[in-house]
Amino acid sequence: MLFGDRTKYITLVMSLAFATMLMNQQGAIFLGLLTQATGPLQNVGQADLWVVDPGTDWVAEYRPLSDQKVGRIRSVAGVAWAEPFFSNYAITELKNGSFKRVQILGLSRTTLAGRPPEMVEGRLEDLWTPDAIIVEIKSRDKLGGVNIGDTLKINDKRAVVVGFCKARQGFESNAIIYTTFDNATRFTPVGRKAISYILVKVKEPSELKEVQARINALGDVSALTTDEFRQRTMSYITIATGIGFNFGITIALGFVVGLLLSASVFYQFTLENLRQFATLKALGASGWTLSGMVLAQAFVVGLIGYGIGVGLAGAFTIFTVRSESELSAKLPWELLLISLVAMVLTVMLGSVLSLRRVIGVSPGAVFGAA
Amino acid sequence: MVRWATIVLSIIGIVIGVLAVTTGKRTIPDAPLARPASVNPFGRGVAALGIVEPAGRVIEVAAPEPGLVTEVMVNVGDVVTQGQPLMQLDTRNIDSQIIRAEGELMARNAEIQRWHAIPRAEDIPPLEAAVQRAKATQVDAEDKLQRTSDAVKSGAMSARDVASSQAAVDIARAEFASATAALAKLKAGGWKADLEVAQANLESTKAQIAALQVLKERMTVRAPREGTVLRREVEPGEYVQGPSMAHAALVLGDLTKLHVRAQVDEEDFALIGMDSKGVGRTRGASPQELQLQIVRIEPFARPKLNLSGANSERTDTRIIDVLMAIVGSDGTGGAFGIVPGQAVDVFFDATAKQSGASKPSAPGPEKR
Repeated sequence: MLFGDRTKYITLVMSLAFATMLMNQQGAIFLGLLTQATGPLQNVGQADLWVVDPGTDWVAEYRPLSDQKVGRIRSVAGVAWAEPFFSNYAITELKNGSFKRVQILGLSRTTLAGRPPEMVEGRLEDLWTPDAIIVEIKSRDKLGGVNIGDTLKINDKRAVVVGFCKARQGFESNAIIYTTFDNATRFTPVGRKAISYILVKVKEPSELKEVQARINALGDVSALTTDEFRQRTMSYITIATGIGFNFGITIALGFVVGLLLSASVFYQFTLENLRQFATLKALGASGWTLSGMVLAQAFVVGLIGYGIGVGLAGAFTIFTVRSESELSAKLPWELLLISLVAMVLTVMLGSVLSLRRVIGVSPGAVFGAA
Repeated sequence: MVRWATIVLSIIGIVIGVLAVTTGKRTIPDAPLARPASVNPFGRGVAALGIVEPAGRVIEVAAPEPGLVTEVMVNVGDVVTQGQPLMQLDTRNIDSQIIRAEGELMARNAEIQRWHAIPRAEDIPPLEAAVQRAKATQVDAEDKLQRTSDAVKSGAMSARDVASSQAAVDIARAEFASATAALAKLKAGGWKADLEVAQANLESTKAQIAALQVLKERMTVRAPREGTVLRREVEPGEYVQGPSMAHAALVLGDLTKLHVRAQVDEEDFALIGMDSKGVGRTRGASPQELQLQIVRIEPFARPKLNLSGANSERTDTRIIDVLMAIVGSDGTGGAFGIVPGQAVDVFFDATAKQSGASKPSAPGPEKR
């Protein structure tokens, strides 16, 4: 019956598709943003644990640790290795006289633990040469399109580009350069304590929890697994920054728009077809059967609208990911499922108003006005 | 028609959505470490930073006094024995004093020669002649006295003449004695005391030369003990300062035996005892495993002052030095390719040691 009314049908499907797209696309951008915020965590694949100050809220904010901590953590039973990791910001002078803020990541000189995940050009080993830096490939243009062998001035100190790597950027989208720990502390003024994080590998993965507890027992440090650190970072951004609230409003808006539109269209549709329902009732159909009919239609329409909306949001996500633009999006299957449930719920709720009329219709209505 | 279009669109949409989910999947890369990290080999271990050093203390050889260097006999890496000359300082000043003293020595010798040359041969004949003359005079006087005595007996002369002749005989005898004595004195040679004075002067000059030779010898800097030249900070033609902490001309060290000095955090110190096993690991492309045995624990904690420390001192931590010998083929560094001053990651076995106080060893005499 609903399919018969082309205008109403298209209006309904399109509004549901739009609502779905809004929920999924905004959700994807929000999740993308959260993922980007945990970028520094995703770049480090070798470590099981991150040792930080217990007050650390998220990955980009840290209180430096003293180098003595590395020795203490290496002494903890079950720890295979512990290496310092440095992160700080500095102003880089470019060849054209302009400047850029860069994030400097300093790696332990011997092991290069926390190394860039993927080299694009040049060799990782060249980091051991004097003043060497490796530039993250997306930061290349920000730093004036530098090439291998070019020199930059970081805080007036010489830095030589020896390669390009691929690494995920953090929340701030600064240019990223990798260098050794000693170079990094030379490039940026550091205080009495220089280590941002200590990366820890455990001997037996099954002992992870015990080792974590032992490190925490040292006091004044906290050991987090990559997942825990990611959760901590995500919840900080969601709750403490207002970003979560803003995106939440948009997503709720999509839900409300879908709900209102489907409710009004369904109500209108039910009113217009009250005669047909009365006929069916006169033929002996119960109120529940009629309700089932309405809900079945709502479900199908909701599903079709949902499919189109998801397609649009998915196309957007694929485009964003493929183009490697600054905007990041992430569409997990959980979001698809949640939006599916939300959409079906929306359209069902929208039809509930009209159900009252359908159940309450008298067979006599076939002859008269409603 | 529209119905089917929307259904198809919806199905395509869901497919795109599923594709988007798989596209967005990001896995953490598991890039390997560039070089293997130092792994704690013990169940419960204490990690510390170690520095390789010679077993005996490093000797910073300095010049005995400021001066010009004329020659450096050793190069970095040379193995030297005790007393071997290392470098030569300019000695011309002392040489000139020695030349002067040697001149004086010749003068002293000549004086003694002269003493021994007395009596001069030419001085004897006149004195002998004088003796003979005195003798003749005496004989003549005695003869005259005899004749006078005879004449007195005969009454030809008075007794007064005898007294006069007697006096003449006495004078002649005395003159003969005098001449004989003069000849004897001349023949006896120089005075013994003069000789002794001259000899004493000679010895004094010899002593002076010996003293100057010692001073000259001092300008040759020699190895105070056997060892290897670790650093050479001086070249011929350079002027060196005298003994000063800041200016060691050459650095010697005994490389036959190497020790590792580990800096143990005071908080982990309680887990280490004299019998704790140690394992060291050098850094770099081909790390070496070193088996270490504690030689002594220095019972004096001091502030930790090293590592990158760009513009700051790290004063919040105190460390205790633990000295360890390298257990191996012969204990030398050469076998392991390590050199003094190199950093080593050290792990101590703390499994045996239960938590509790441990006492540092008594400060034993350090072998130097």
